[in-house]
Amino acid sequence: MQINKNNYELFAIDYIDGKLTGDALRQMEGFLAENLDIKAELEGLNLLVLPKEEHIVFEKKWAIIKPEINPVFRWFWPTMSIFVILGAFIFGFLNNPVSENDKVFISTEKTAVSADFKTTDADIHQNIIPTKTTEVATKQKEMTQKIPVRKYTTPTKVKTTGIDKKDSPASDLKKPMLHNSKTDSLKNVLDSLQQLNNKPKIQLNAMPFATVDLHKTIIKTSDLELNTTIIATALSLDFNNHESSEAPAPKLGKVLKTPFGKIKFRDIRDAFLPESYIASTK
Amino acid sequence: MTTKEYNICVKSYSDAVYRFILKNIRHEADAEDVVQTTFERLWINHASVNVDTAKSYIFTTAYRLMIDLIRKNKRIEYTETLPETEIRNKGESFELKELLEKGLQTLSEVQRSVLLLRDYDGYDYKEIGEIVNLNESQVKVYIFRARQKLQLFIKQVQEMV
Repeated sequence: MQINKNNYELFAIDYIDGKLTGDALRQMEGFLAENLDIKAELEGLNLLVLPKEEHIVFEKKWAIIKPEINPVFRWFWPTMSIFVILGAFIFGFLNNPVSENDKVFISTEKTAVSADFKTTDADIHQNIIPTKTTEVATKQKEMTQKIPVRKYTTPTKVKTTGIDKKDSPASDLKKPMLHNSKTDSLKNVLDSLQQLNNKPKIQLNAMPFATVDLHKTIIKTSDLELNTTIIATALSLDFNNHESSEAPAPKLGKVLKTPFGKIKFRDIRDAFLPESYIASTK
Repeated sequence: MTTKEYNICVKSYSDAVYRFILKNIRHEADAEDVVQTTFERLWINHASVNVDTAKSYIFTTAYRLMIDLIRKNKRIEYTETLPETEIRNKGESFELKELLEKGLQTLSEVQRSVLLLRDYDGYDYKEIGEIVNLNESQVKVYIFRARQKLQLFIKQVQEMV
């Protein structure tokens, strides 16, 4: 290609950079020799280079840098989370195994209360609504045939067994002596029971089939200030007169194993049963 | 491209691409936005971008974003020639660096871009062509004319001072 005024710009940069060689270089030199004004233009152009301004930096690199995660640890936390969840599930299952029978029994427990004591409007307002199953309802009906209908109020009395009412101070317990949330009332009962040489028995509302030995365990009780302490103590008692039982005291919310199944203990109010109810179950 | 390679790209090229954009549009906040958006796109596509072509990808993306910004944003106006009165009122003896800085603003958008890519980042003409979407010969001509224009500008300023 012949270099002329129309196309010399294509070769000018290479000429300035010193990269023009061979025939192209000779043609360019010949062209510049004929056009001195252009030659003068090109002189010094190679020196006209923009200075690098290194002091200008992008200050916000932190905003676009991405965290680097070691591939070894990439799956560490997800794996650990799965193990923890799985472990918690297994632990919970082993500590609180609830079978279908247990569920029925718990349902029975609720029904026992509602079947014995007629539900009132006030109870309905408080969401105390009976939930009977057919089987449970039949049993409860048999159990409560002779029980007078009574409004469900806070249970207040204990029933002693193994003592003849006529001959023992237990007859003094006819008056309400226990109050579910009053430690003082409980203490009075316990004091009275301690005066008896015989081992007094009471029945738990939640476990009408069980008779518990108050005498032995209540004497051991030193702290009567808190209801929860009393519950725990009461639940360490024997069931069905198995006086040799040394079962540890369970806590509120724990599922109790009894000869009749498992019962979840909810509240101190479940610990005591009205006199009339006890009478019917004896 | 891995995360580590992406971060190396950030450390290696973010300053250069920022300088390139800032010199073109002369607006720091906009230049930062362009750089951030560029690397955001690189991160989105980091799985498909090869580390060897990352630099070209970054500058190409930044250049296109800059062109879009210039076209979109009316307030960024580039004058082909610096007003004569401004030069006269200054009455100062300009250093070469300052003269080049001023002269750079007299160039057209493409001239300025190709010259900056050549002088700042050392790209060869073919690579520059790929970034600004021109062929190699066109790039050479643009660079030659840009240098000619700068030389002329400097001469004019020196004569006036």
